[in-house]
Amino acid sequence: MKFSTKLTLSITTLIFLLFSLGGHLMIQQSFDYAREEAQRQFAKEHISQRLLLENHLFGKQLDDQKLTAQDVVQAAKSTNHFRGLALYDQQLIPLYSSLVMEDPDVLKKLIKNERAIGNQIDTAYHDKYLMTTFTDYKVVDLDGKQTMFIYTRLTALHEPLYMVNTYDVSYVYEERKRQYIHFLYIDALILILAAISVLLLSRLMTSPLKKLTKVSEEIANGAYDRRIRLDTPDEIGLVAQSFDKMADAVESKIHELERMVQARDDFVSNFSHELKTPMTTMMGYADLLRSRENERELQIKAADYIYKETKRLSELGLKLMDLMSLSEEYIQKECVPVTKMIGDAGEHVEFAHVFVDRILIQSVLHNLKQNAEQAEASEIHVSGKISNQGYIVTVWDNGKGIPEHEIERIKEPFYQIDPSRTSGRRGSGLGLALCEKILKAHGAELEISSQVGKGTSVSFKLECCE
Amino acid sequence: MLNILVVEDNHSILELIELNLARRGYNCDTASDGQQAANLIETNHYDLILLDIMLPEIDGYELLAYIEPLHIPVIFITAKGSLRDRVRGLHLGADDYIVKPFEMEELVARVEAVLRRAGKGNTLLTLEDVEIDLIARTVKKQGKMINLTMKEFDLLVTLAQNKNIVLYRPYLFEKIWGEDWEDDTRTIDLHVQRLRKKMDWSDKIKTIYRLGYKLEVES
Repeated sequence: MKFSTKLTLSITTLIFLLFSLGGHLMIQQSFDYAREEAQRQFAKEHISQRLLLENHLFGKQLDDQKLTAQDVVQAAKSTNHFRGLALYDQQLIPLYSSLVMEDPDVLKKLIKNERAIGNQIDTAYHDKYLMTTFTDYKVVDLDGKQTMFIYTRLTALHEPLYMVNTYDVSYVYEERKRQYIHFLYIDALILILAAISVLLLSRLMTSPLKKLTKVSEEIANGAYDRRIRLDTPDEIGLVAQSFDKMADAVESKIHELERMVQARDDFVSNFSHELKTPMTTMMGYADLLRSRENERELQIKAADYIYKETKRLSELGLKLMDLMSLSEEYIQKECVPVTKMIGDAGEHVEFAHVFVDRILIQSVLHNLKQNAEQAEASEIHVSGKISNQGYIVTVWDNGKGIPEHEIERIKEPFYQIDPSRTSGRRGSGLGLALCEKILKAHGAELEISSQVGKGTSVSFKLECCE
Repeated sequence: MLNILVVEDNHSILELIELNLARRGYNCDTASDGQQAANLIETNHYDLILLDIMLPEIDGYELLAYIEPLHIPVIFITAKGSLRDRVRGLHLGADDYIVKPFEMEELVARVEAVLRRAGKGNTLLTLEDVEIDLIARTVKKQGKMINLTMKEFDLLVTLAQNKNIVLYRPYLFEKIWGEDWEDDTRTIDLHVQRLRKKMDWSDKIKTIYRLGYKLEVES
């Protein structure tokens, strides 16, 4: 289930439940109040009727000293005008009743209740008014009409009499029912409104999550440059930001890997190219020699081609092995005077000791000089200078120079600026790559600056020692 | 004579191709970069162009686009044997491609196949009174058909294509039987003898002692 749906369902349900509970409590309270009000009012009426009845009976008592059941009924008849009234003797036999409906069970319960509470009646109060003011009531559903039975005990004859009044209180219940129905409509309306507003709200709040999902899917499908770019200061915003950061890291890693794969592919493709061309030559000339009798001139030429290409291939193989195997563990650094590598100290070469693998650095210098020769330089200088960070060696020539856009690439294995292979002199294309690797093992780097037509200067820095 | 332009920036390979094609009787021009090739194409007529892809100045693909409207058959020479490179070359209108390292035999075979397709190939070899049809694989001497077995025919063609040149036994054996030479001179000697007999060429097919054979004809 979608998060927004979950949110909508749960919040809507919660709102509905709370609202319903609140409404129910309100209605119930107002109902309780209305019923109490009714009870108070009817209790007053009951008591006033009782007083009336008692007055009547007292009057009779004063007249002929003796009250009969007949008198009681008479008195009841004459005092009861509007309400249902019933009088019962001690055995709960009705002496008089104008009730629409009898319910002796209610009376029994009320009496029982009085006895239970009766002991608590304030006797002082009883003495003072010479009567019990204890009234009790009970509401009973009679044929769908809520009827309030109000009851007191009076001592008119020599024995107690039970007086019961009934009042129709169904209007209180009707009102409650009406309120409930009314409330149900409101509740339904609230439910709908809550559902809609929460749905919209949750959609609004989960929209960044949707975007997050979309973007992460796109990234998973290879669009590594996609980002969420959400700048809200909440938790989702934070998630989005860290997601973007992660995507940045992934993207750069992927690019790095792609570059590495590309470099490896280039290397393999260049290497195979470097192999295939001399192979074709060697195979072709060897075939020529072995298949037929040729003129001596051609024989010599063919053998020469085969020899040269074989030699070049074997050099290439050796350099390639150097390039592959060279790493910091295999180099043996020692403290050497620079003059052992560069030549005599003098105007261009300051004397110092450097901490290097002498043979490897000599090979670097040899390669750089060879490159300068290939650039058709007439002058090649090697200079050495002590600087505060180390000893800087520079190989300078006045050859044809390197075009600016090529400088980046010349350190790549097999890369050659002028692929014109017509000239007999042709390197392996590995020289600078090898130099770079040797210097890297010395913690240094080749720095190349060049101007087309003017010359090139290549320098690197070595570590000084005592 | 058919004219072939060879464009290849490696001098030794260029020379080798030229040598092999010239021996088969083609007229070869050579160019070692794209610019040079473009100039030659502009001024001369060629029946076929052999084109290296990696060239200085103008590369092979560019040159191909330039050649296309001239409808000259092109064979690509490439060190890049990847499918993508080959497909790209063929899409651009190359008639065939050959991947380095290749043998000259293969190159020549492809050149002849492309020329034949273009309707320009040499399908008939003529030596004095003998006519060899390379497609129908038939031989006529003075207009009369001579029955040769497959191997005999191949032997004849090889000798005829390298007339007046000493061909060594191991090479002949490898070329005709397609197997590595194992110091077995009998098979080849036997076939040469039969061929001499059938062609009535006992004086023309010379045995070069310890080395091989040579077909001596007037060129």
